[in-house]
Amino acid sequence: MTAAVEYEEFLRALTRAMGHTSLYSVKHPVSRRSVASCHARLAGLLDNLSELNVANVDGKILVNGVPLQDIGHSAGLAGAFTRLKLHSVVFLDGITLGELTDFLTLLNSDGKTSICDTFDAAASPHIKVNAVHYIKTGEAGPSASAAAVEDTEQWAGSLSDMTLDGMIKNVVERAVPKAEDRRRILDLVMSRFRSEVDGAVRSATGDLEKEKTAILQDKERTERIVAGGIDGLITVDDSGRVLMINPEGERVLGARLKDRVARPVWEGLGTGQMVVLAPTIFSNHDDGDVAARDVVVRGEDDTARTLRASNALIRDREGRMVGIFSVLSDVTKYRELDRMKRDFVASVTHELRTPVVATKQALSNILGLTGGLGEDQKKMLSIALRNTERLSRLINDILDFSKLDSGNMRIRQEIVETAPLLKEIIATIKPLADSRGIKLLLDAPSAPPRLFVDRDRTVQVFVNLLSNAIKFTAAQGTVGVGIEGARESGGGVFLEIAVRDTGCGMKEEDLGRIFEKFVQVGAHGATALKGTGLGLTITKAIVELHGGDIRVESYLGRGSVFTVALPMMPEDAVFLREGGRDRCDRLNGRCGDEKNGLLERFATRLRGG
Amino acid sequence: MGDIEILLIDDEEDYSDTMGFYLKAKGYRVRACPSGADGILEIRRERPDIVFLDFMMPGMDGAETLGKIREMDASLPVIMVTSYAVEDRMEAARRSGISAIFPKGADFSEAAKMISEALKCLKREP
Repeated sequence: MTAAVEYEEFLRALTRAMGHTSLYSVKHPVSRRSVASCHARLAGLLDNLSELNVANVDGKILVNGVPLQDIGHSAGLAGAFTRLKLHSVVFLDGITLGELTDFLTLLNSDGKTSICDTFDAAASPHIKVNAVHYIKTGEAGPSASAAAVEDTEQWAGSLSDMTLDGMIKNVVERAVPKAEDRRRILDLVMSRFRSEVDGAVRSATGDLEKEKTAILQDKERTERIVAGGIDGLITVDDSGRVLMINPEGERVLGARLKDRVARPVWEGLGTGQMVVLAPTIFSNHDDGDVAARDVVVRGEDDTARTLRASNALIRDREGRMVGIFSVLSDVTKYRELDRMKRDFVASVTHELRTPVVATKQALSNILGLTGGLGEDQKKMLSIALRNTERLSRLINDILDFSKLDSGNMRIRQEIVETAPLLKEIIATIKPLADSRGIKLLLDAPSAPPRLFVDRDRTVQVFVNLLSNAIKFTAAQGTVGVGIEGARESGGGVFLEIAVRDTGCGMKEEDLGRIFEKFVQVGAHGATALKGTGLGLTITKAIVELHGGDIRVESYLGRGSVFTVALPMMPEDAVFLREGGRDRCDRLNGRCGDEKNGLLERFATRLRGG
Repeated sequence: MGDIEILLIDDEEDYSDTMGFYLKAKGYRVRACPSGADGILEIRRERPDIVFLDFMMPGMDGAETLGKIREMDASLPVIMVTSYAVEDRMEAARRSGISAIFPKGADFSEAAKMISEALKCLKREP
């Protein structure tokens, strides 16, 4: 509350109290209430002021020098002041209710004598009254200082109504007695005043101009980005009304929304788009930004488009959500390009297979079927064959990977007898193991449960794991494949088959990433075995396509165990009941509790136990 | 050319065997070893006239091997063999001094040209 308003409130209370004490006796509850209210207001004001001076200047009431002209009934107050020859009254801090009541009673008295004659200064130490003194011009008297006060008060009152020019003129007139000097001084003051005001205005407007230019440039830049942007931009408020949309935004949504600014964003959209935008607007995302996601919409020409909507919340200063900022990018083209790239890789790789197979076959024909080759020729041809085989493996890996990447890898599950399958796998890998001087072991019961798998892909899984095992095992080492047990999970029954080696093992930190694409850890060994870094990625994917899983344990310098769970025939679950589960649990327990036990047991068994 | 001896240092023995066969047919004497460490030993045992050094090798790679070679022989011509563009990683090798870069996919006749170029340069410098 400004001082003036507080003073007005006080004057109103004072006038009301004066009115009530005049109409009723001072003891009447109405009087008491209004006097008390006036006293409270006065005490409140005096908390912050040393004194409160209420003066009557030419029928206008001034409170501490502040003129208050438009107070209702203040005329009554001014009238009382004039009648009682009261110029001003000063209220001091500590004024009591009794003092105020007595003063009001005096104000209401209909006597015409000066209030100074009736006022009991001793009884009211917190009220000072000043009588009006009429002073004739030039006459100096005992009350000259009071007259000066009154004169200044009056002057101040008249100045307050003037314009600035008038004020200055008035001040100069009073300060400079001679009329001719007055003119000069006035011109001096006015010209200095005008030049300073001009300077201040110029510098203020200069700054404003600069700011305005900067803001305009900023705005223009933003508008250009928004309008010409490759991305669609839509801004909506918290109730979904469009605040802004750029042409690309209209294009990608296939709807003219510009005409709909300030209308809900979903108006005029197809049902598909409604679904797209609704969750963006209504879902409860109070924290952070909304993640980008791809949505498919149908435009006016009914072509499907893939839009990537990146949204950001707009918040006000208090952190309340006031709108959502949506960036729509048409990613249809990127999607198409990506698909084309995948198709290209797949078809090129596929085309590569035929010449490679032909070369490989031709080379092995020369080596195996024709005679008369010298040692050098045989050696060169063997290198050619070996590297053609390597090329063939790389191509197959890339082909498999591109199938996985495009989600086109299919598996055809059938009932597969496990024992012959494992024997075939061993036979496939044996030449490699022999060439490296590595012992190959098979550990399976005579009649293991049948698998329900894609036969070729399963062979691929184990050949891959076994050749990895051989790659990382030194000569005289052992690599083995064996049935570990069976378990039920997710409604299916799975047979666990493990591939173990006594090789170099892997570091703990590498275990987590060996299934990632292009990751090759501790890559060394025969070059002819170097791969693409896709082998384990593909292996894992094939196992997972079967609904199974693959896990790995490894001990640096001691060896690794890859355990693959593949679906088995449920009818053969007798394997589970007849000791299979016990065996499985036992093994699992050992895997968990004493990690090294499994490998030690394996090593013992490999040594001939 | 029978008096010029070439040392091939490459972990891919199928590659160095094939290249060695070609260079022998061209009349050079050829030695080969499968790692940087073996290569250092070979050079120490008997200094060849020129070295083909594979950049990508497990363990001690080409750059490291080159550093070791330069420690004991500042003038031995070394041709760096690279399997694919590793330009940014070749900088250090260039500073250590190499005669040429031979891309693995290139024809072996290019290698023969590089050998004679490198040896010519060597003759011009005292």
